Amino acid sequence: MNSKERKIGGADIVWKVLIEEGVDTVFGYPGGSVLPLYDALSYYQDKIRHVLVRHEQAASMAADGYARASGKVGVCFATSGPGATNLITGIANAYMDSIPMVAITGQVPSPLIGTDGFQEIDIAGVTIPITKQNYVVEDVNDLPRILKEAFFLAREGRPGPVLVDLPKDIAAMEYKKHFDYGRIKLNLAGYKPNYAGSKPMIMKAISLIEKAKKPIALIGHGVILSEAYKELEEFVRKCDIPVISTILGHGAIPYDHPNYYGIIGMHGMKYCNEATTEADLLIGIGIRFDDRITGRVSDFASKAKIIHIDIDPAEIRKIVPAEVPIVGDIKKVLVEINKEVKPMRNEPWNKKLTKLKEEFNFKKVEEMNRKKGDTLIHHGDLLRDIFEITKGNALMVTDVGQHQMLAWQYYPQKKPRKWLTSGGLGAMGYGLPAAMGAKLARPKEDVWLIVGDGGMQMNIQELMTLVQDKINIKICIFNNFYLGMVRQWQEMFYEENYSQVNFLNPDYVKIADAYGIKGYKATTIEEAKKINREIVKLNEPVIVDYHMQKLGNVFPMVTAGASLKETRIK
Amino acid sequence: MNKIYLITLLTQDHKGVLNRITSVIRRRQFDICTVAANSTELKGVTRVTFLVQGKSDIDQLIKQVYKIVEVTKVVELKTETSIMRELALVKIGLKESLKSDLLKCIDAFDGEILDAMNTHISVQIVGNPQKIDSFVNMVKSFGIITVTRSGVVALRQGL
Repeated sequence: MNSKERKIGGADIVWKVLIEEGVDTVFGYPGGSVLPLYDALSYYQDKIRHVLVRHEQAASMAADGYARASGKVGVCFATSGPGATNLITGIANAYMDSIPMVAITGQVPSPLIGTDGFQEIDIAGVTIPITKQNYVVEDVNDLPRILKEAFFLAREGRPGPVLVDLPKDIAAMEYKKHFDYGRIKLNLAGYKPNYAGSKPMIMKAISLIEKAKKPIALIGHGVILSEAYKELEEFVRKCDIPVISTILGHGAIPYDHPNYYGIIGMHGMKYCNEATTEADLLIGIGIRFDDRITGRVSDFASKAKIIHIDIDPAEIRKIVPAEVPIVGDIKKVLVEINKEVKPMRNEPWNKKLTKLKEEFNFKKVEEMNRKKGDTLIHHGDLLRDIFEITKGNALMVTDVGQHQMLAWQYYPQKKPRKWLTSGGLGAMGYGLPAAMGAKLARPKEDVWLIVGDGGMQMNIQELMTLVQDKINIKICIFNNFYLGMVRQWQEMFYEENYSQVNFLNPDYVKIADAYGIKGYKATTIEEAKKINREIVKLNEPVIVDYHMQKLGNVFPMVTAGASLKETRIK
Repeated sequence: MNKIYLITLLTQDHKGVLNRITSVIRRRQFDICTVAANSTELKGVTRVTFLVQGKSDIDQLIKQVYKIVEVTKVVELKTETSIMRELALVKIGLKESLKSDLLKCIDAFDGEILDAMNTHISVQIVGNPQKIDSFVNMVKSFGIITVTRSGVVALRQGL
């Protein structure tokens, strides 16, 4: 039947809105309460690709990966009850890292709501603390407005996930009005993000910047969310300000930029951590001063005045006392600063940091911490090789744990949106689905997933999605047969009492084979290098099981609750 | 130390918005002492007034509540410069021997008797929270059957 002859129902409205919003790929899993949506999908498949995941958690995480890699809103679908609850970790992840996402869940038919019906869960109630907004649709005539608001809210201001819960009967109900998306009005009287930034505050910031002798720009995810790369580059070049990045700001400025020094935080570079302690001015740009970034807050940037630029007023003075708060869109605020600020040189300060950067010998840190007699692969050797063969151009996705921190340390980025990691939530299992989403968003990019043996097993079922949807990513399992980061903490803080971290793994080559994916195993760096040179040429999904040194640790490290001054290198 | 704060807000009267607001209050580690919500002079707009207590930063709570999409305004009212009122309905057991004492007491608090039987008397008291506390304390010895108190509503003094 031609879609023009069909009666248009609530389910059609969903797909029509998605098309209007420029959505080309969605991730989901069907079930009883979303049947009308999946039925209608058949009529829109020429415009929208639906990726059938194997677990709803992967749908929300893939939508997140898609959003991070593309800058567009990620969309996921699930049925009511267990389908909806399975989305939760991915939604929470998007909430913590400010990722634009619209999650659409089926719900039991309206008359059954509140009766504890089969597969009924109050998903709107459940997701209140982890969504920017959510809706339960009660009238099919409200559906276009609700969806339009959902996309608007997901994207505008500080981005975040929005959930729309759609009862089955409403999805199946006929939509009798004329569908004209452009004319749908939003009903969001209470939502007015401040984009411009206050002029007096901007002028005050400029006067601090011009007086500072030891300024530092600490950049975060906000720079990427605001796409303020050019403006940031102009600002730090013009004012000669050293730049240090948080884990989610990674790639917002090219690593070879003369003003870029490196990464900050619990596993940041020692000299970067120490530089913040010495700075007389700290300009936080699109960051929320997470505890993994600041270390002990009372010691953080203790000699510095703080300028804090962020779109979310609730982030201002939440953690650190900012002398000059600027609430606004990073890009717009930087444009204003760049217009007014005088060009400057901070030569002695930059020279000092450059010297510290050169003196900080990462290989020496490695050598100090290498466990003697272990012939398995060392993470430093492997990550350097991956950087070399990909020429530093890969779109890197990680899971959560030691390998994540190591990939951050060893794989500097030249471009934004090529570093995807679960920052705020630290959700194991994120890597594989996020890499899927990233590859579908950016098919021309070479997507490499670095994942631990723990995280690999959290969403391993998605290997089949890779095959079915021909998603070509390289999966590098950093396999040390341990939950490495937990083991490291047990080694350092629990007297080597290795409790429940010893990890038995399947034979990943056989696993790969069972899924119809090419699989490799490397136990020495020589084998690994050979395999890397082979897989880099492959145009299909591939798994490499790298057997890593069992007791490898991540350094530098700031112990939880310690000051950044106390960054340990062993 | 726990401190008590009075906050009042305006919100679009959408379904579930009170749920969202109370969720934020809980999450930012405040306890709700009283809550009052009702319509305003503006169509479709509800005013909600909370007395909350907690150790955390009240400015942070206000900013977080303001982030809720439907919420259009949030302010902290200083208790010392605000008019605060709540209403209590108190049902008190009636003993003939104490009747005149009880009536005197109700009169002293400008109470209004809404229901009186041989066995009990129901009284409405309006005032600031301290006045209600005092009344409840005062009539305890007569034998309180039920106390039901509304949340505090408040206005800033002056224009």
